[in-house]
Amino acid sequence: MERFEVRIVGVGGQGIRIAGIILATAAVIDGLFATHWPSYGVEARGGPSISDIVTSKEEIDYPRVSAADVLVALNQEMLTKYLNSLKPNGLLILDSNLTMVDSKYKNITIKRAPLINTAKRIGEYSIVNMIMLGVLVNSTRIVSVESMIKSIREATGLDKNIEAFKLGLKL
Amino acid sequence: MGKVLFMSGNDACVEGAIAAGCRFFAGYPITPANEITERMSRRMFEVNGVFIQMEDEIASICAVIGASWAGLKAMTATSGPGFSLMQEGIGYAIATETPCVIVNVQRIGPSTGSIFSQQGDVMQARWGSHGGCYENIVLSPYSIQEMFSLTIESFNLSEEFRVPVILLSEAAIGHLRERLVIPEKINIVNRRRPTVSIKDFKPFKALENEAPPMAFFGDGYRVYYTGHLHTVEGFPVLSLEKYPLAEEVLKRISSKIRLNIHRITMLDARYINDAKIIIVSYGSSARAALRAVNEARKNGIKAGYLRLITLWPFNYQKIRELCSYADVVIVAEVNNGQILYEVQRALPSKNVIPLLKLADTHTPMEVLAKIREVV
Repeated sequence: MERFEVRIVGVGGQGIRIAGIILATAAVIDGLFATHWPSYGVEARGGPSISDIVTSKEEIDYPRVSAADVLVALNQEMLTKYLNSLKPNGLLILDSNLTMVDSKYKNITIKRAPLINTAKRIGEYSIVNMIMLGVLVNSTRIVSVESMIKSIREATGLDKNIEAFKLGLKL
Repeated sequence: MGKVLFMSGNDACVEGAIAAGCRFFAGYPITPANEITERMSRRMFEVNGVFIQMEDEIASICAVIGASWAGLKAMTATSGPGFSLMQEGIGYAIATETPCVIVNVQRIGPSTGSIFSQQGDVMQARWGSHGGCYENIVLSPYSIQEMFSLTIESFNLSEEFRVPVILLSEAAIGHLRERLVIPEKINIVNRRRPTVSIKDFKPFKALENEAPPMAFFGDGYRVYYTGHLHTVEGFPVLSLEKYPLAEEVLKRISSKIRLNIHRITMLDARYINDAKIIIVSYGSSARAALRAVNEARKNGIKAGYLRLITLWPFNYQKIRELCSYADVVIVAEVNNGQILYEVQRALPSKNVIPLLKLADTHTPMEVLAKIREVV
């Protein structure tokens, strides 16, 4: 695989940063080169949060997203702000509560998934990022499911996160 | 290949320090260097080292100096605001020829600024301490692999030359996560120890191109450390009349670095030989520069890439040699222009132009646009 860029955007508290680390770690377990660059404010909750993940078979020169192959959005404002970082024919993964009103991005593929609602239904909002990773991996196959499970276990040590990821794979 | 890990620059710095033999860390928390202090607080105990969270950065650098005198490889980590506070202590370490490593994960300034990246402390790292008759060593990592390897190199150079070495990182590197390969074999340098009798030992006597052997407190050798000018015996020299007695040591703390500049200089030069345009950069900006140069080459533009790993001492002669065929040299850095003026001094007859920004890091598009502008 050539250089592949993923940008995940949301707000503090949604687990954007740790989701990016888990995804990039899985890529390294798969034998790829990977980088993760987080960008967040000083707030613990509610401020803008971005995870840039780059994977490649070769060493990565620039470790941030220039034109994302995949953009994942968990927050309406962040979607509006960062939609322009998606490639013209890129994949947009959206929480189904968000609305996509900009009609100029007509060549992108949109995948809607009930990420937040599913997490709320289970009664645990904090697993929304794991459900999101399931949808992301299922839609792109940039890393293997086995490496993701290993990576989630390494980062969190919690079975409920792995269950949430598996749930996301089916959404 | 050695063990493959995935970690942040700050975490890799800690692992590099431990691999180099660091067994003492004193620091005061500050973003974006916090992960170093946090990981050290756990890791030092695992390797039978000492971790102390001090009351501030002034105390931190002083504790590090004391630990080094007692024989340990010692380190502290901070960011710009704390680095300013450490300057007096850094000067003291230079004067007393105390090996130690100071990691500065730079953030935007002046003053408190904020927590995102800038390359604003390049000149402070060189000239920050008063009485500027000294040379020091400053290294700039551009990857997580280098946060590991250059931390080791910082300790090695610091041990060899008995000088504080500054690892000048940035938020954009400290918080970046990347693959890290732990090499199977790591070269470690330890400070020379005295072999002469206690009576014959002169703690600051050495050839002009080297640091003297270092006795530890408790070894039995008589050592007197002072920030005053001092003789080769270590005795303070306070009057102008007696100044000639101190000049040998004062000259040597610079000459031991200057005379070894070719060994200390580390550069990363790619596509240089036929390059008409060369981008000079360091740290995080070099990542954007590398991508831009790769793109330019794909489009048939003869661009070259020159990355400074050793920022200080600045090797003017080497820069002159490497840039001799270029028509234009672009200096990309995240500040108002600091290394820019050193490159201009190295290349007085060339067109050396700035590509500056004040926050975060360059994008490849910004560097590429500048290349296209001058083609």
